[in-house]
Amino acid sequence: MAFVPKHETIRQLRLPTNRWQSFFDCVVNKTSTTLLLGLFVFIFSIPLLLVLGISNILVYDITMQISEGLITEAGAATRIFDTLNAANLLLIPSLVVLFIGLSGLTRVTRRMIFQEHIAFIHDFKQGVSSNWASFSLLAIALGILHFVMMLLARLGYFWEAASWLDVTLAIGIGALVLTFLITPFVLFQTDLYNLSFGGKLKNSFLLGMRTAPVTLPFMLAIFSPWLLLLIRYDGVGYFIVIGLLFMMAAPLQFLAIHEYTLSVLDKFVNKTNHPEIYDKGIYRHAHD
Amino acid sequence: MPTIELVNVSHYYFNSKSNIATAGLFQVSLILPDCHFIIIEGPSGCGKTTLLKTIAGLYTPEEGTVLFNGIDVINTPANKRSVGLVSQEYSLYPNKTVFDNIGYPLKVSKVPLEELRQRVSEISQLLGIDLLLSRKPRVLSGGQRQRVALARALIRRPDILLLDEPLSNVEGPLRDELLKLLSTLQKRLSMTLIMATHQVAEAARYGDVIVSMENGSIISIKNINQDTI
Repeated sequence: MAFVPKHETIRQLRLPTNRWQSFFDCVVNKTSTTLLLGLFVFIFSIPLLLVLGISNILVYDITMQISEGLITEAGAATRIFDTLNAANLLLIPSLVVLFIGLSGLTRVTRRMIFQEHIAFIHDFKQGVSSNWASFSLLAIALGILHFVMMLLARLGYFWEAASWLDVTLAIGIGALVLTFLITPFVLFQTDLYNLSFGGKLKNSFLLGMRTAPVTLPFMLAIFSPWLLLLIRYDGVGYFIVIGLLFMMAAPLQFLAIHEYTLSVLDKFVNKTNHPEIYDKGIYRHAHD
Repeated sequence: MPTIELVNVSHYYFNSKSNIATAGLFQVSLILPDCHFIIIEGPSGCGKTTLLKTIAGLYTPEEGTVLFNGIDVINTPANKRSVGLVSQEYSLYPNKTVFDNIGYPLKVSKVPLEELRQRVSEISQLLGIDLLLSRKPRVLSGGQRQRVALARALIRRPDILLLDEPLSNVEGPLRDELLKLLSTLQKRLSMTLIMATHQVAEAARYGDVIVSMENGSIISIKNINQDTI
């Protein structure tokens, strides 16, 4: 028995009536939790940032050696090839670290969205302990995919085979699209359903394909702020942009993708199979 | 669930300036049946709140005794009496969220977080405030605050729930809905619910027993469904 007020001015509170409103509700009413999300994303991204940063410095150093005539271009190309391969290999454990962090944050964002009580550290730990395996597997899969794609692209560059480059570019774009379509569903199903990793992948593939016309533009739009990294900045500007992206954009993106994924899962899965979490966190009586 | 018995209970308020004592309750003897919805009515200053606070253990009477199931509880502190009290001011912590307000009594009792969450979730769903758990009381309407205060009183699963003028800050049709809710809660949780109110006509539709008070004394006890007891 639930007491549902009929005459109350409950709508004056502007309780969210859809997932879009739920996103803004979380950002506005749970600001400190959102900021903590950003901090945690940043902390768990540190290995990734170090790998990217150090590899960039090493490549820059090699190119400087060419300009100073210390090494030949051919020798430099081999060293850059080796450096970037090593960096891409190291990206795999770095991604695992980041995804383990995300496995804990998924529990926190789920509780934010469901309007449940949040004890940040407690929920984070619980999220990690129940989700880390699936998240790590996905991180390893994505890391290996990235490594292979980059390796193939570099081999094409080395062999100066234009057609090979076109093929790897096409495969790369296809892999990126699939990643965008499948990854969010794998991640956020993990904290909701008791499914095997294969089952989650299969579900996610089906959901990704079915919602591709919306999911793909949504994901591209959501990740568009990261294009800021392609702009050249002087001095500390680059670090400010990275800081803002990780501390501000990343948690909002994570929350927004979680909300979107839940809206899809509500529509295709929860309504029939999990009514107890269908539309959870949304005020259902808004149109009474 | 305990039967509540007051035997010759008197409680006085002393004015230190004028050195005059006023009787809040005067030689009140009363037996309240368990698992009933009991309404205490009477004009302002007749002793309704004093009676509730005496049952709750917040006031110690100068004379007489209070028995729960025949056991003298006069020396039992308020937090050991299994009694929940909701005052008309709600007394919610403005800096805490609805969840923290409701869960506070359990937090003080060091109930583990998961159990606390479970119990807050259950009671908030029961009262229709589960979507308000992350909000602060200041953004809630009067009726919602009332239900938060109710939830906080019910979270400890008291045998007796005392409500002091719970409808005074609620207007319109919501009053009737809240009364209906209280009646349903009382039956569902099989507890004794004692409500002090001015609006006896409204409350009588849901209550079982009406106790009328005047000048600190009981003037009548009426069983609504049957005859006078």
